[in-house]
Amino acid sequence: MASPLEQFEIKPIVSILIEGVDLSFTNSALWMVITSIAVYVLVVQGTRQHAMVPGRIQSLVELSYEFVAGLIRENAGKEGMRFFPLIFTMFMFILLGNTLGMIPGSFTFTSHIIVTFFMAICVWVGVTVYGFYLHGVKFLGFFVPQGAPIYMVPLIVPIEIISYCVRPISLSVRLFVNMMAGHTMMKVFGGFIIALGVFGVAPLAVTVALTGFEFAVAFLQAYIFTVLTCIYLHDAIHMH
Amino acid sequence: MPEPNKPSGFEDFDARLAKLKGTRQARDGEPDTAGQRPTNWGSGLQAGIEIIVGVGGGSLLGWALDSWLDTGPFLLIVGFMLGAAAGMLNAFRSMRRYLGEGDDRSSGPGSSP
Repeated sequence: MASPLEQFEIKPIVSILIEGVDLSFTNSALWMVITSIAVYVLVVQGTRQHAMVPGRIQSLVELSYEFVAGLIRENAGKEGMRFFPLIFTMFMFILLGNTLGMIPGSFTFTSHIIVTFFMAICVWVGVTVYGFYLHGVKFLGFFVPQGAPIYMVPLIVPIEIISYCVRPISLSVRLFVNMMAGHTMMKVFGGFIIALGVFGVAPLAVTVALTGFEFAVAFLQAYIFTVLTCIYLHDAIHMH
Repeated sequence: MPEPNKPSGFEDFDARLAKLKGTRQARDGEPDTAGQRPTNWGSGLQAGIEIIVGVGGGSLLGWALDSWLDTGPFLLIVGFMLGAAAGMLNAFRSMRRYLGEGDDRSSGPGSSP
């Protein structure tokens, strides 16, 4: 029986080695390209005809647009709408990456922590830079809670700074853990189906249930990533 | 898809749409945000991740500072404790966000008690 972790293996498709740095085009990269193209095609198709009564694809695109716009307005405020293109792109990329990863035989790039961590660190650095850009040095006041007694400040400030600095880690670990655990679980139960013979019906039922559950997780994790990005943006804009 | 393009019916359409939206809101109790909430399982996992990441991040930071400044295990211990506190703070905030408490949606220190 194949290892349930085999599905996460990175395989180079086109080997590129420049100055000893491995820049191979891997299956992970391939699925990122496929996801980007899928997002592009979906949105372009959806906005091509401006039907008053939208068709399926247009309705889907309008729905996602309004969903993300609502999230930003609700969580980051009106000023956050400046970042709508970035957040919408990220949401669609993660959502389609998660869902396309559900196709049997495909590769889920969001199950690799380096991918999610890079997205999270970009968000974190961007938000921090934007906070300093808006508020200047006063942004450091973000780490001092209002109304805290002065003798508590030396204790609270390091805690707040650490709590701020681990944000990209928790943001990326959450997405990666959910995707990896779900896919591993499906593969483990899938492996039992044949091994158990007639009784394989039980793991088959579990796998069917897990497949539906995984689709929910795929959406939920894209949603959580987006919401937290908006909340961090809110912190940078309003400071508290 | 063929589009009838009858501008005369738009007011009627808007009125009907508003009415339908009203009935749906009355039925669901909540406007459009129903079903967007993370599940209990998901938010529990989230709080767990926050604590682990807090402890791990704090310890790692302390360890890195230790090996840089050559100050024995002291900064590691301090980092571990501060990291644990930060992790619990993050977990507390994420749970509070999930429960919808707190006057604004902020997770920033300014809103912490």
